Amino acid sequence: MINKLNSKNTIILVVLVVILLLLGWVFLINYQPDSKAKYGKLDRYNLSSLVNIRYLPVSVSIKTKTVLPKAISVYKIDQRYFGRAKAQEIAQRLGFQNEPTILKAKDTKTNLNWSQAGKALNINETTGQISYSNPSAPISDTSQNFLSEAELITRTEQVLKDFGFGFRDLTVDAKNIKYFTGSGEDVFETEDKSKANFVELNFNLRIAEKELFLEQPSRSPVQFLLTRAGEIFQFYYSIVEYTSDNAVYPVNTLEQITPRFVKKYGVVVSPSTAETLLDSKLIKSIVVEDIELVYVDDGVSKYLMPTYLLRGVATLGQDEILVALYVPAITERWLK
Amino acid sequence: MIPRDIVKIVVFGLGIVFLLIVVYLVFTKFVQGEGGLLVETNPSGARVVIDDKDYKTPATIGQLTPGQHKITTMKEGFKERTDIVEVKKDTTTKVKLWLYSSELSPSIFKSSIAEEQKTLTDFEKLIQYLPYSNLHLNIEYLVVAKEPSIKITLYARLNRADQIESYKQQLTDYGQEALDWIKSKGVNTEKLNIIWAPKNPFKS
Repeated sequence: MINKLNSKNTIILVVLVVILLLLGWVFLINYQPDSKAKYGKLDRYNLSSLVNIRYLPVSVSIKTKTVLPKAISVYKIDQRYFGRAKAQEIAQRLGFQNEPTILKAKDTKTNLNWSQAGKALNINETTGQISYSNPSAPISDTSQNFLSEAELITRTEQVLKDFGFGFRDLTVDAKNIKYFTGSGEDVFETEDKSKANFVELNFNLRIAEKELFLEQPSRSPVQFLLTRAGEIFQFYYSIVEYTSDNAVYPVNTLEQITPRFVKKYGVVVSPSTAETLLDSKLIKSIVVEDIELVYVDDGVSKYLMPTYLLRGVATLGQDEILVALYVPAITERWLK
Repeated sequence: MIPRDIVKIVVFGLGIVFLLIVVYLVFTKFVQGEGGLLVETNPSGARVVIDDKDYKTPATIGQLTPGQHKITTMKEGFKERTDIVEVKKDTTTKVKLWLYSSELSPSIFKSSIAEEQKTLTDFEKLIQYLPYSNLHLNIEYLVVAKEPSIKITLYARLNRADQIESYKQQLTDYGQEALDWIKSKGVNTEKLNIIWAPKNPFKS
């Protein structure tokens, strides 16, 4: 009798252990690191687009089997703006002796504007973006050689250091150094280096192996347009200081990136010009063929937002064009 | 010793079987037929593998059996892609495949736009210059019933009934001026859906 009870108890115990193991296994399989989402619910980014597919009769289909991660780190932005004193210092380094004009726009973006001898500098105190242009910079004779690419890289890196922007993870896009011709505001890309007046250097930022994109994906966070003599003709800077501290958030699975989801939250970001896009009302369909996880900085968010960059083909009238869209990567549950 | 009749029967039987096989092969080939593919990639110059054979895009591939075929497309700097395409009997099916750069950076979006600009449609070429107007005409872009259109308005003057002939002449001249201006932008006017106001001066 005792033996019988013992064997029954043993069987029950074994069954319970097996059930517990199964439950543990199921839990581990479905585990998503929500508990680590220590920044709480995140604000949605606010991106603008010429094409709002949400309100257009555009059919969307997803034709990709890309394997997506289950979670990603979200980086908090320490500060967007580096302060008035540093802004003044940058202005002085670029040769501005005067005081800036302060423009406060409706959306509370405060712009500091310097203008002197044809040169213009704008520093946005909300976003921390800097844009400088010197259309009157002397354009060297095309007989003068460009500085070597290595010299150009050293020179631009030194400019960033002088401004105090020796930011980590920032690397020059050495494979895509481009040449431009023209003058003033009208500058065109050329493949013929001998006819070029300017050279463009871009610096990109990779955070934990993921590329950082701005609202306009074709714009690198740091851009220099230099003359043959290496003088700055145009300069653009849009890098924010982010913390190394981060929080892991679950991201949408491929199954969750449905045509309906893309229609609702998708922001068409490329082509970004009306000339190439014609009339967005002509877009009949978008077929998504590629998905990559990237970070996007919209210029106002408190975080570098993990975002899916969708690439695909749009049918536009009788033609097809390549398009790129941003959709939120963080699961709906963790977005406000 | 095998009787001669049996040998004859066996040879005859084998002949029939051979004939049936030949008829079957010819018949199935005839019924099944052949098809072709025109494979284009953007950017072009990609390596395409179909049925273990290599081609370079744009590639016209004939003598394919109708049905599904696997196409693998490769190009340096771009992600490899595999697609299943349907080959139809007695038809050359056009397949256009877009390649996506394997390295992701803002530069690729610049180049992709440049690539598109190389293959601008007539509408795209023209729209950059619109709207355009002078004393004789106005040219604008608009969408009518979801179709892209070019509207040409001609400013011919008609104040009195006796001016009807000169009015008609003005319409023709201004209409030609509008078409010449469009052609000067490298655009084929015959490919455009043109809406005339007033009516088309070149149609009686």
